[in-house]
Amino acid sequence: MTATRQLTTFTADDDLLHDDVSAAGPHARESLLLTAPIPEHELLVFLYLWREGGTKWGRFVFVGGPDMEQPLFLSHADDAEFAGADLRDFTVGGLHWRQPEADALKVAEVDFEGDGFEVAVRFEGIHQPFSWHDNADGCPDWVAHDRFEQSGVTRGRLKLGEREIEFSGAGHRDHSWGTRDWNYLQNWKWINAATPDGAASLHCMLMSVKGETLVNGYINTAGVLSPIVTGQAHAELDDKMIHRAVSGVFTDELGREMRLESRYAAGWSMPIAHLLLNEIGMTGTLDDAAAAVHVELGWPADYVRALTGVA
Amino acid sequence: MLEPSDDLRHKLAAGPHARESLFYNVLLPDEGLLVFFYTWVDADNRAGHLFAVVTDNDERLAFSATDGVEVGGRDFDDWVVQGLWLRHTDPLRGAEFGIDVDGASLRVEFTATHAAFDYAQNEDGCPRFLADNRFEQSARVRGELTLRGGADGRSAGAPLREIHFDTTGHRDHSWGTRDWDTVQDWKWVSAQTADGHCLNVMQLHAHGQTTRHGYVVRDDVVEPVVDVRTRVDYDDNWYQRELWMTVTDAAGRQTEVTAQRYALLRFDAGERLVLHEAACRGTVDGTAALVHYEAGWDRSYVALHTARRATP
Repeated sequence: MTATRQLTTFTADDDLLHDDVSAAGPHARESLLLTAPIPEHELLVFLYLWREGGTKWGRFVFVGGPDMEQPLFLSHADDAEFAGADLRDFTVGGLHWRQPEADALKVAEVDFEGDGFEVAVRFEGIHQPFSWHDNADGCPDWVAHDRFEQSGVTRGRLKLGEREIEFSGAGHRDHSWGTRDWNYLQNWKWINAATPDGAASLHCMLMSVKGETLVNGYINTAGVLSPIVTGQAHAELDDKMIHRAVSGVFTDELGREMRLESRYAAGWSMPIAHLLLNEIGMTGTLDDAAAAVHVELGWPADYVRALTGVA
Repeated sequence: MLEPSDDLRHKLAAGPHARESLFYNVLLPDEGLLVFFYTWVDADNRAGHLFAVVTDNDERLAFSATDGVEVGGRDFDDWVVQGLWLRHTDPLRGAEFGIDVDGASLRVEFTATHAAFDYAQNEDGCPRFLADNRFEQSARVRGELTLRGGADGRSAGAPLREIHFDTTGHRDHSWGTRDWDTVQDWKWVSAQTADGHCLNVMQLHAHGQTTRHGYVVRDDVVEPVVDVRTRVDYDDNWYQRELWMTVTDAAGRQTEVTAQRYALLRFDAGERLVLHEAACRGTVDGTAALVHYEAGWDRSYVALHTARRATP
């Protein structure tokens, strides 16, 4: 892949744990996330695991559907057992995650079974992992020591009771290590979109912090990955502050512009600490090309409660 | 388009956040003082006021606050709320106001230096949770402030101070719904140079969106604000200490503002919010200016940052 300039280069070991910065200290955390929106089936597969303080593992596995209040599957473990060899091939509370060394920094294979539910997803990155340090706003030290984000194509199967689905499409993953202090965030928009053929993708994180907006992410198109410099996004919120549509215009260091349009397909509100993370898979377009989209809007739960009466 | 009648009271729809309010300030940096003058009324004719004279770090030399005062149909051409009075004598141009309370008395003549600017003129409009509409206006303010001391006990025994002033100031007038708790944070800035270069900026952060409101007056031309970039330095109380701001208006003009706080008033609003009112010395495009910089925050967010800074 070509890049606009020399961007941060990760090594195969960055697929693994970073004990030097994520194993000890206040808010020490390392996390992996993989999302596979399947908007054509009104489904969102969301797989998330983390280690806090170097010893305490947790994970979320859920499948969101058309009704935000009725996840089609949900399993949460806050003090889960870890087994395996670092992060190459391991399980956290039954969530099996593989990152084969032969495809380091590119492939993740994840599967989970339980209570009549089965999921298996293979994620293949369509560009090299991107570090927020390559954005002008950088990677704040309360977010992580470092963090990579990557768009990819997804292929997998899903069994939800009697419903069995084979899917292929686009998704996103991240890997973050260091300090994670959620308290700094007033709200945020974590926006990911990719065309299923892998020709174009977008990642943008807009974080409201200390009264200012930080912009991170990239545009990936025409084989060139480039850091974004501006991101303007607008979310249409319903009376429960669920985003039903998200649109945006983003520009990168090359002056390229990318437009996003998206509408709700499937999701669930994930509570973490004092926050609500509204995870929504969306039907969308990137510059008019069909795209699978995942937009997470994060809010303080008491703010949502104050505005809606529910949280 | 504002009408002369907009200087008076508006019919408010009944509701929990229905509200009409008037705010005036006087900044006296050589005295180290911020004079904060605020009054409001709800849809049921219940009025209130908040008046304060402060130095830095919310050190109150005079303070008076009241609410729920029945005012009937009394209007802003002859407004009285428990010692606070106000007369809008020249619609959208001039006013007189003052107060006589324990510890202080104030009398001010307000003469606008430009046409009132309402937020409905901004591209982002006037958000419904803020008001149906709201106008802002800078002015010449002349008058006297007398401080007798003892208003809050802390300044008991302070000597009598009589301060005559002739300087620049600002006011706003808003009517409709004021739902403070919709907003996560905001910046409201007014700044004036002695030669008439002035501005008002409000940057609101609500529902995950940032909106921008206000105007710039330069060479007697009023233009709406279209973009604002800010950088702020905070102290250990999460009080804004210094501001650098670039304002772009609809004519494409850029205005640079700097501000350094010398006085600050803190008070709570709504269920969740706190207001930090900073009086500042500053500059507008390099010329000395008076700057009032109000920052609104969720109280829990302020508590987080002050706790962080208190931790070694």
